[in-house]
Amino acid sequence: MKKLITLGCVALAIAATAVIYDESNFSAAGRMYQPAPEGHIVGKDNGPGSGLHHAGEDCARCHTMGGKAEAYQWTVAGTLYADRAGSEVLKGGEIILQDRDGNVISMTSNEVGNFWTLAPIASNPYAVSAHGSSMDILYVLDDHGTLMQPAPPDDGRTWQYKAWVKKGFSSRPMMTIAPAAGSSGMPMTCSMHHAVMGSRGALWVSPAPTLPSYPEADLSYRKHIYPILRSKCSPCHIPGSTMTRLVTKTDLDDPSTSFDFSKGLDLMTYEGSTVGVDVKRGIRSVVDTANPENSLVLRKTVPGAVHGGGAFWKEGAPDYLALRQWIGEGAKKN
Amino acid sequence: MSTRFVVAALIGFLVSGLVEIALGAPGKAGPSGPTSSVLCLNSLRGSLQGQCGIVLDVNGDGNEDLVIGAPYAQGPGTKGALLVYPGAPAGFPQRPSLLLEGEGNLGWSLASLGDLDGDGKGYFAAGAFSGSSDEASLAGTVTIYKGGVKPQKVAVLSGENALDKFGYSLAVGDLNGDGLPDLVVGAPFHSPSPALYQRGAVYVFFGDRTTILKKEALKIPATSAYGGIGFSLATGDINGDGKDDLLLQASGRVVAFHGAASFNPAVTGPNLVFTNADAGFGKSIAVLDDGNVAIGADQAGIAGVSDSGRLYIFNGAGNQLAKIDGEPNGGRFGSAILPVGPGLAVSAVHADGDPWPATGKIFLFNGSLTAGATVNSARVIAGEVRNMHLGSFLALVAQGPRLAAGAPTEDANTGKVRLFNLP
Repeated sequence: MKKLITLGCVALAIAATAVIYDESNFSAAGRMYQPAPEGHIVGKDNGPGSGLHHAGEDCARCHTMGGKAEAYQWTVAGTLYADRAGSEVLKGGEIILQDRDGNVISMTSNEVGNFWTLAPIASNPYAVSAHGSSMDILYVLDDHGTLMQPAPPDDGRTWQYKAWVKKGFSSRPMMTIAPAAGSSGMPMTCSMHHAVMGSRGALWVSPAPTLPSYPEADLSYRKHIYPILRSKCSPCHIPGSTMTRLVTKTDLDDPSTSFDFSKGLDLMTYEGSTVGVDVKRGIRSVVDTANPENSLVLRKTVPGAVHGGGAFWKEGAPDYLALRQWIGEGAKKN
Repeated sequence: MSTRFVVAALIGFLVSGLVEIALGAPGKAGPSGPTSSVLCLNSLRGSLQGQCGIVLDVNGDGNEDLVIGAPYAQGPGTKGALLVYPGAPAGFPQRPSLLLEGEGNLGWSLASLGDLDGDGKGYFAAGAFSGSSDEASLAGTVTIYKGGVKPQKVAVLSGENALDKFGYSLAVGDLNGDGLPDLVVGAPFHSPSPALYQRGAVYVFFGDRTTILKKEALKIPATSAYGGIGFSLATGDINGDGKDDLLLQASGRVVAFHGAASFNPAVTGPNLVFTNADAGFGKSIAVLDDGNVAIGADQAGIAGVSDSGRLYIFNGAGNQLAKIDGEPNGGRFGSAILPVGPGLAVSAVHADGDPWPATGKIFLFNGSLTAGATVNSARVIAGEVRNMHLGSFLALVAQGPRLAAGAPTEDANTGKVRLFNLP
């Protein structure tokens, strides 16, 4: 049975990699399982200058029209950390972007974790700008649905990309298609939302274990397992609404393809949660106490698995073994 | 006189000139007047020295000492450190005499508890926002140190759940009026419930004559009415009843809970709410000697320039007494506030210095601030190094007197602390 399941996952993974990613599937749903591009020179698009200042802050505060650093513009920038808590900056992590035309942009983080690029990002003629409850369709169609006027190519909101951060085999994809500028036209940075002290936590990637060590037996949910889940599985598997934003015409097509990137799973609350209309199941729905290695929480988080959130650890890694042990001990809320 | 001697003398002159920072005339920045010192341990690269700092007599020699946080200091198996600079009549050494290493980004926050046992050595609390304890991993911790030549850990307080960032903020006050200092700890990413995911909590550890602080804390969780708590805290008596009150930033508001013998805000609810539409309102909060409240809104837009900052003064009944606009330069005026006698020191960590932009500035206001006060009436201390974040913390050294100010992002995030003579 285990072999069948493994083969099934591999088949799915192969199917995913066989997908051609082009403008026809440039949307959150179309790119949900896209693995990070490979075959390019890592860091080929690093921006000029040293950039050793204001690590972790929103770069767009100064590097914007009328700002203190107006003369030093970029298309995308941010700071990379080794963990979601932002306890340690990460040097040498890779930040990969791919735009609508398939161009791959690759940056690496410097000694204070900062990264930035001047590489142009293709404009999506079918871009939609959505922020909160407001939505602005930036293109114009005629009565037959033919494109009459593309979204303005000089509007930063149309510069859209799919993103990943990567360190070794550890890869964190972004679950949506992101714009380079916001609804106010201001340039956006990863740090705007993925700040150390922000709601989504730091932008992070690392194959390192969450805790320095784990006991071989008698693992505690609160002390050993919840830290793994909170560090690795948020901000996707959290309580409340987790729908992708509508940013392309494909997202708006009937039926709308905004989807719940948590897949109805709240790993921050042991029992699952009900917040408004968002009912989500908890950790027990993705563990198999009788056959721990068969647990979804393990099978979907290793390299080669089909998981929108990417790969976190290899079989045999400390976090993997801790989870497996805890599941085998009954997956208790202890 | 040999050439070598002349060259050495010239170098020495230039170096001493570089560390001289002057207090400018009112409304003007730039070098003139009294000198300052620069404190730093250069070997701790990228450590953010100066993220926080406190002044207290740690070693009991009768002189005030400086304890400085370096939350990103890396050592073998350690993450975060405290740098202790012993004070003396001649001043402070340029390098710390003691390095207390820790884990979990120790040194992100600091608070002085004072001399709790009468031996002349002060106790202090240090926050580590990603610290672990026997109770919870990565929840954040606060370590209580007893002063001495080498301060000793006497207790470790723990957050509840991983990534709560317990210890992000600290404040000390006597909230229940029993004569003992109480420690208030912010955990801004605690989730009281799924519906209040990451809305925060604040914990009050009441003073105890035997154990310094009670082991069990009074928890003030975020509510649907007041969330986003734990980032910014302050204590002080704003209603004149002799007991300290607790003030918290709560998503664009500042809520105040009056001190009481049976202090329990979760039951009583807030006694006063300061409301303002300015972005960042509550980033800094300070209770002044006269019981008025100073609140910084560091992201307020001024003359169309975002993140310039504004400072408000309220009385204890919540009435606004003064509003002071920062310079319209994205300087984040109101980043930190420190009562200095009857006046106030206010930092703007992104303000333009002389000659570099984005160095940070400190504005010194003499006397009470009233309606009509502007930054032009303040004496100004301007940073002299780009991107140094001057004024990330402010602390008063009574001997001098002098103002200590953190510059944690100077030199590729290594950080420094500067001391300025006050008039």
